[in-house]
Amino acid sequence: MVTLIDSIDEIITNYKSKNQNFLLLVAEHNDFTHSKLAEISGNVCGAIFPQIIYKEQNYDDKILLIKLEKKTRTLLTSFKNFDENKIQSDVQDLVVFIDGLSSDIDTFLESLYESTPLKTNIIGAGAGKMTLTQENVLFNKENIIKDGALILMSSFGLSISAKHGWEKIAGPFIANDVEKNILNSLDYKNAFDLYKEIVENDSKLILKKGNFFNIAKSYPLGISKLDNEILVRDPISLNSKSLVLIGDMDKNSVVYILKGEKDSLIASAKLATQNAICNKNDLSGIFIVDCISRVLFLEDDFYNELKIIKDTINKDELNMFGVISLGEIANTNHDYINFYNKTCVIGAY
Amino acid sequence: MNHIQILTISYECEASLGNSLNLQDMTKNFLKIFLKKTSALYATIIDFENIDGISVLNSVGKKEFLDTVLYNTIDMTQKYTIIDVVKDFDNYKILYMPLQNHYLAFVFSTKNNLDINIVANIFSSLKNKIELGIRASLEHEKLESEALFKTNNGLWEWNFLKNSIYFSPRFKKMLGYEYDEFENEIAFWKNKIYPDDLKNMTNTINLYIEKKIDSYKINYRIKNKNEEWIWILDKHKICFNKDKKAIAVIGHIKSITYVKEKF
Repeated sequence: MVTLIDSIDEIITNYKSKNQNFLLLVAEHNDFTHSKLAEISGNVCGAIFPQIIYKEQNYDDKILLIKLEKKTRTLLTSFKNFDENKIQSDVQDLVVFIDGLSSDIDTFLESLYESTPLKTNIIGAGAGKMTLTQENVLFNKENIIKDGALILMSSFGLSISAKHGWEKIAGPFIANDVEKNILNSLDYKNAFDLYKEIVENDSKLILKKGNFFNIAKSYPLGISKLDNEILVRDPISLNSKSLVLIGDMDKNSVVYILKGEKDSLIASAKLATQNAICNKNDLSGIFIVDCISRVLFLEDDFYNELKIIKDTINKDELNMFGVISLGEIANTNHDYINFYNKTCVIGAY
Repeated sequence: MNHIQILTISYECEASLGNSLNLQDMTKNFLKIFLKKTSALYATIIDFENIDGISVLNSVGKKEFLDTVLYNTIDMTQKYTIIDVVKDFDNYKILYMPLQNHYLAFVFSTKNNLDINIVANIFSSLKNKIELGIRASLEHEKLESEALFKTNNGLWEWNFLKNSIYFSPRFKKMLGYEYDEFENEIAFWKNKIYPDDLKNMTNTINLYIEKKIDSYKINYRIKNKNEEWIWILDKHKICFNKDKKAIAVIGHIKSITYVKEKF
């Protein structure tokens, strides 16, 4: 059961005494107050995102309430105190919400991946707000934290696919000086100077600190992989002459500067949906994790991305919901785990 | 897979080598990069010359594959070996690459349509650098351990050519003596050692001189200033000249009385 809710008070009124477990996906402009969760009798957990998705619409001020089955186990943990032994040894699917602005994401994901059984599917999203300032955004009834993760463990029967649609326009460059998610140098030049030169040349706009994200959202970085895939990294801000990315980059990675066309991004969402549903005979719903920078890039056309997902499913009665995230997670054990940016992840269940 | 991609992966993997002199950090770092760049599910480096038998030096990724990796017998004379395996009804390929005292193993899903032979050749081209990195790390760890031993422990040197002996201030302090209270005399020193242990130590030194082996450890009891027997771990290094004749023995002592009394 997935319900779109206007306010936390509405949840308290309707679910206060129902001994049920809920997941709340909260859009950042909702007046959500964590302390009010104490009034609910059942277990509640959740995360705050820039926006949420319900049917073909994205919202920045509403809450999604998802009723959890009793068998679904939840774990709210800081990255630092993550205990691998708390991951069930026979778990089939993990839904993982993490602090999307933390600098410890990669280390946590590596540890999570190593601790999960061979055939566990993982889907997830980076939580956070568009202020791009780290805040407490992951919660259960007792605590609200940052630098951590909320993990849901169950057998959702997930089939997952991730696609992005961004194309190379310049490179390759060597990321010769990187500290986790801070890219200091490309091809032995200040990262910002080289990035600025290429982006200004292509966009015919002047890139500076004040308008950085507005322009950079259309020009992400891409790390090449051997299986023809490109791992996208979103530059979200400037730190002097360094680029601050969502997610880590390994030192000496070979990277490209990418650019997207609206059509190719929307087509990638369709392809991700097709891939996710093609092996599902008993489709009950679609969980979408779509990056905030795709929303900002596509602007009004983001509606078309959601519409094409719905049209591809072609079943009106199915649940279709999700989050607009700061980074995406998708792993089906054909590959090592990665933290994606600017990607559309579809989880069919 | 095009040329740029191959060059890229080769560069990124090579750049991950030699970034640390700590063996654990160094191996973890390059296994992680190799894994990420090639979409492998599991990577491990196995030490098959370990004193306790085969041991996992390091691993990254899905640990469930370790048993499968260890189960297969590989031909150490080959540049690399690729073995098809089935685990929980899914197909995987394991790439084995022998090194001098270790071997590397990588597990790939067959669903990736990756040409494992190209990956194997990229890794093989880095074999010498991997070996060098491991050797440098092992050497560094040995030097660090020796330096630590020297810093915390007493030193003595018996020069066979001059038939003289020297005890460091720290050596004398460990036995409770001020520097001038303990004579740099062979007889004085021998008189302090438990008689049976002295006999054993003399035999051991002679044995290792005869075998041309330059370093070993022995335990013995020595009397301190308070006339108490204390247990010593003595790490000996025998110095040979160019004619393989022993010219000196240097010892680094460490008190192990606590250990002996407790266990």
